[in-house]
Amino acid sequence: MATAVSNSIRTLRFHAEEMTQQALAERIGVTRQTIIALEAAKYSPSLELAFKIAAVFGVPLEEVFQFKA
Amino acid sequence: MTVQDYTKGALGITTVTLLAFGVLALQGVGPQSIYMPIVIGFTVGNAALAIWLVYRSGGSWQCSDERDKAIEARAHRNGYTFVFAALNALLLIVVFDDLLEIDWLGTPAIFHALFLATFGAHFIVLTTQLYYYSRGLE
Repeated sequence: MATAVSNSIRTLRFHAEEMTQQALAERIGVTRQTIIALEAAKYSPSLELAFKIAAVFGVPLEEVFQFKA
Repeated sequence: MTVQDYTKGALGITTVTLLAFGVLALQGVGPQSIYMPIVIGFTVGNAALAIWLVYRSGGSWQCSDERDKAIEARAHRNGYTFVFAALNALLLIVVFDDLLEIDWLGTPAIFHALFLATFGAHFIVLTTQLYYYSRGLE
């Protein structure tokens, strides 16, 4: 069951010195399972969490998340 | 130990409780039976497991985040829907007691129905929780 919101978290992690899922999870205060669900588009994050993820990678929000209308 | 692990454990205990209770209910065993404490024991075991896990995690779920909370909320909504539907159905049955010619209030049947309604709801909460963890939450 994929959500309508896709994301580039996996790619961004790769470009951020191959940041691990655990490292990203710790920086934004969620579990690794949530990062796995996000990358698989099985969970749409809250606006706050989306901004936190974008801030970690230092990119605009729309570069991390894309909405498929 | 993750929330999913706990949910699986609790689901196992709830399933066994429901099966044990279902067998006793079909045999017409009432709440006064000596077998009932065994079934109630499963209920206490369920609560004890939850308390032990919370104690072990230092008072709260260490791994709980917004996704866990969203899944828990959705699962509880399903459980509440079930229990309200079951209780409404039960009320209707009691109202039409005479039509069905069953003495619901005078037999263990009402106890069985209430027990199955509440445990059925708990079963649905745990099952849908695991479903959302594996299939995702929109």
